[in-house]
Amino acid sequence: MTALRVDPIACRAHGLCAELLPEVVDLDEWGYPLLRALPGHLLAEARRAAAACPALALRLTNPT
Amino acid sequence: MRVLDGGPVVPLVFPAPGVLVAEVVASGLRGRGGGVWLSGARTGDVTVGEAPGVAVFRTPRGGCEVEDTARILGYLASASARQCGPCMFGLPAIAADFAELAAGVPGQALRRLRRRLPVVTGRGACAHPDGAVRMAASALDVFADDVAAHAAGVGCVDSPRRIA
Repeated sequence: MTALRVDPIACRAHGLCAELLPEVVDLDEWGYPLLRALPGHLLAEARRAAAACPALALRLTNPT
Repeated sequence: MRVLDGGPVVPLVFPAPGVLVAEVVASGLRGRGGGVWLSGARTGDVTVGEAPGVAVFRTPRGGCEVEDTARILGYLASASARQCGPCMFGLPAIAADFAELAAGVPGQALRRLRRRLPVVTGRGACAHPDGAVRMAASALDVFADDVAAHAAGVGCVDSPRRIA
């Protein structure tokens, strides 16, 4: 199952992920993402959000 | 009181009077620098699972543990590597909440703590914030009466000291 992960060091709280993928990403009071489980039907949107992260801190992981 | 499975207990120098902070020397422990408060009513051995990393042992009364916790949190917040946002911003916020609670400032410090503590855990690249949060949460738990009194602006319940 593909999951969304954030690199906590790379993340600079731009907040684009929460704009692009509000179904999965909430922001804490400091603007850093809180991730929920990624439903399969949002995979394409998740890829887009990961690609759009200005800090390249958002990643899709696929544990094998 | 002994700590099981954790090797020797080494006292650390810590700028909080009346508190013995002991580091459990063992490999694979996380949350170094945090520790947990243990109830004074507690006897017997402590397992590393209960008190991973660093154990903060209660010493005979004399100080105010809520204030001590606020001081320890201030130290832990200043010791953040400032690499991850939830730690860089969360720990100072939590430390400020606890300081406000300890000082008996009327307001929502306790409510903010209960909201903020679970949010920070597990969101740093290292376990420093996890340890600090666990320590703070254990203080709210072990010193529940004191905490409630401080939140109400009454001060320490079982100490002759009263806060202004």
